[in-house]
Amino acid sequence: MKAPSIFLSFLLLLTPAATRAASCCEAPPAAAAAEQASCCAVAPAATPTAELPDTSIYHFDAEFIDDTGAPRRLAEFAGRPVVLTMFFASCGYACPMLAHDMRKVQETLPPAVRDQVKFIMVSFDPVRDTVGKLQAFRAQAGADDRWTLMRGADGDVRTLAMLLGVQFRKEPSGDFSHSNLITVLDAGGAIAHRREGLQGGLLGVSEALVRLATVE
Amino acid sequence: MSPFRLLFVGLFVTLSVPGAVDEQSGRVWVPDGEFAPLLRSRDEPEVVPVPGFWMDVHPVTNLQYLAFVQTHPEWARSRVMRLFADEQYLAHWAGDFELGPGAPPDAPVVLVSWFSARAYAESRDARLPTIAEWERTAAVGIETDNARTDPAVAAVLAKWFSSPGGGPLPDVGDGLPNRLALHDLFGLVWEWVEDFNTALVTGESRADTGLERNLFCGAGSVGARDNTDYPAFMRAGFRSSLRAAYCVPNLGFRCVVSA
Repeated sequence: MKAPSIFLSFLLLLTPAATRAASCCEAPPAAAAAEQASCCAVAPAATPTAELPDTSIYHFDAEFIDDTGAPRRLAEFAGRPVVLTMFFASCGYACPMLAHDMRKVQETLPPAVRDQVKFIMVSFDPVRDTVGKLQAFRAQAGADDRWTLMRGADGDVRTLAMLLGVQFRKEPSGDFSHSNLITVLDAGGAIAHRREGLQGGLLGVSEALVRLATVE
Repeated sequence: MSPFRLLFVGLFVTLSVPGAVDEQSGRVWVPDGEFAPLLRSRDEPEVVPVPGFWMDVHPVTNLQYLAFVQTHPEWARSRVMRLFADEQYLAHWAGDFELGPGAPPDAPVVLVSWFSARAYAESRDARLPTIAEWERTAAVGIETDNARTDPAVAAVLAKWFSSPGGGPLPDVGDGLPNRLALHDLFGLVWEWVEDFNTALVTGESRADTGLERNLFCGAGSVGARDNTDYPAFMRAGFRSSLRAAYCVPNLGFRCVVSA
């Protein structure tokens, strides 16, 4: 397969990911869903991964550490809509804005919806973003107890970024270049909405959350 | 050609290969080297040192991948989770554990996702190469040490970029190796790399995810190392268009092991 298929691939690849995801949302055979992908650790018994849709990012079962130092797994957030972003705490501009935007979304949600939604921020920076740094970021961002700030191992952070479609790279300065992306996950952990960039689009995030909350 | 001459040519090729192939692992030692990124951010150095590593002499074949699927059936075509591989995953195979006419055993495996390639590598106690590692090996030519100016590399790439596809892929190891003794770096398939999602991020964290758009337009090449390095642009553009679950008909992979 050579040149024409290369260009065909380009065309295929330019198809928005959302369209592709939508076409493959059928539920997996129970046996297949019970099988753990070899890139995942064994699921804890409490996590009903067999009931999650095939496209759920909760199938990615790595252990993260939250800002209280407790181990956390993504599947713990199943059952309610989630707003998820990736960031690094020493980021001077974009990440505080992302946190600000998430808080704005939280504040503008109808109270009944607000009570259901969880907010998660996962750090790119396992080296510098210690539990203490995450705590400081939480205070700075004015995040309440519906927010979870987490750090993870290098490879797991990369896998999560891959699942969300976040591009990032560590620069020689130790800072990270990264996409600014707010992802809304439905109760099953499938991507329901994405807001790319730093301007506008918050209404879309809120609307997605209202939709997901009402469906419940 | 007489049998004697064949023997002579064979001997000559064997002796002139600088890289040593480890017969047991099928890997070649790639010595310490450098990688010159195609697109750099402001504070990034022009060349990045790349410590030595072992690299598969050719891309993973259908037969090798079949052995992996047999021992890791969660990666069989009908069982794989859509999260980790799109619906094109191994679509050219005859069945879950059957290659069939579309997938010759010694042809490179394609239509595999980044997740599945990574799982294969882990099963071999190996990993996917980084962009720096892959590009460092592909910077070494077939006839000379500089792939960018090597006419033999240019000929292989020109043929690949211009010839029509279709039909099963040729076997791995058919063409000439480069001067590190690595086969099929040029002209057979594209290859997954561990950090493909960093390909077109510039030094600016302020811009949005539309970064790729900036880089696909002409302005993107202004900061490039070498505006004439067409194959490197092709690879960078291709990588930036990928998502980790995508399975593409001409995208395979090979593994590396750190020293």
